Amino acid sequence: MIKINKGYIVVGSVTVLLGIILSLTFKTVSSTLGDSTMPSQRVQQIAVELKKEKDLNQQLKTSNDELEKKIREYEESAANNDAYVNSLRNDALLYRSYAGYTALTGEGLIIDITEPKAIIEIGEGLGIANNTDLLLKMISTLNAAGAEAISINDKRITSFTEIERAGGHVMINGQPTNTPLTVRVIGNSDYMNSALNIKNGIVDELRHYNFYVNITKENEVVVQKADKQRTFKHSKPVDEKKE
Amino acid sequence: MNKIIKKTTLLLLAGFVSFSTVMQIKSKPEKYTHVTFETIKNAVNELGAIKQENQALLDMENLNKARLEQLIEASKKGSDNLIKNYKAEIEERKIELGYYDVKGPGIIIKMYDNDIIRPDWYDVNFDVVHDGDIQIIINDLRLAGAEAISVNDERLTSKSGIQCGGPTIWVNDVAMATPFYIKAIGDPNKLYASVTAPNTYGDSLKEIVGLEASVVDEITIKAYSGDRNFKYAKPIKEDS
Repeated sequence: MIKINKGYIVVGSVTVLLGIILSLTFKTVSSTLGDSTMPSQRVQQIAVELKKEKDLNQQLKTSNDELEKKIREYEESAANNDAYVNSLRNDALLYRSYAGYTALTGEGLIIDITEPKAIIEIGEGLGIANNTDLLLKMISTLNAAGAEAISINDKRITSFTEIERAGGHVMINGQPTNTPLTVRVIGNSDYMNSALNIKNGIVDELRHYNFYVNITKENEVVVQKADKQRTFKHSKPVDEKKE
Repeated sequence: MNKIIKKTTLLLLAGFVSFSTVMQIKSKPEKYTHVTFETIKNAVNELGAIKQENQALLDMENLNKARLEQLIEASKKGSDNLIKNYKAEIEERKIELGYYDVKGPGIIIKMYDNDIIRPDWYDVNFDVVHDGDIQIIINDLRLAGAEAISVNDERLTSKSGIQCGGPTIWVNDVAMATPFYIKAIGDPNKLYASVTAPNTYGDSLKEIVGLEASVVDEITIKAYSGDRNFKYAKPIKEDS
């Protein structure tokens, strides 16, 4: 009787020991992983959401295009009936084009900026996201050389454009983008080309950071319009006559 | 017989337990974390960005709808409303383009060269305000929602270049030198934070050259006096 009890005790204690070991390994594994299964789940969830938002994005864009087309038709018919309306409309169109709400075309440059593959694989520290100041410098250089309209990956540079680093990519006008970058710029292509290529200028600096820069002159560069309209909350005109 | 069954059960159970223990130990944590934190962060960023863009598009859609409605109404009732709308739009574009002096709450930033006396071998480039510094500060201000910005009373537009040229910096083709006063209208707290908060460029720049920012209840920013005409660019006909 006593002998059997002893055997049970041994088996029991071994089981308990095993149980402890098992729970320990489970615990350590889950603690080293953090929320181990959560991340992949979360990513999937984000991917689904992203797809949804992208669909919505497409839908909104087409709807906006249609609306703008209709607006144009109405505006044109109204302008045809009334000379004053017509002149106002022309003014509005002019200011819109100055402010960047119209797609423009003309002589200019197309600047391609790419990162070499090997560098991308090395990882952080060398991407354009770490060198957003170079983009600012490029814009400034082009403007100083008389650029009339600039876009980077079809994101129009307006007087409100901000370029920001967000993780491994760049945000321009609040929209994410990354290399390869295509900068389209309208203006005097010779002046702009010289300004970019001046010794120790922006092209040299980009190359110093291992970017490939390729500049081509074109007669018909297309610069897309800005797709966000700006409203003012804080600024008011000083002149009292203007209300 | 009974004993044999008991023992086999025990053996099987022990085998199962040891098997699962080995599996647990062998399983590599990395196997499940194909997704790094960075990937998630990027995905979240992208999602946030597209949401923002969609919001902007939605605003645009509402704006367009309202405009279309006004146009339809105008086509029925005559063009008075239409004229009013065009005038309002032209005014807004003119404010945006810097045709008028504008006033509002904002900040003034003073940036100046460091006048510490240095030994001969010292590279004085470190003591000087550069065009790049101003470009980045202005980018940060725009990020914080600045509505109008000027550098030494030269209003910045989308076509403003800020470039070093010898001892001076050229803004809008006007030469200026230290000290530089940058004025910006917008939400003053946001603007102030964008150049003084820890880890901002302005904050780190303060260690090298002079930079002082102050919030102002009302500042006036001068109009842009230069030329805006296009010589090269033409609008694309959007008829299709």
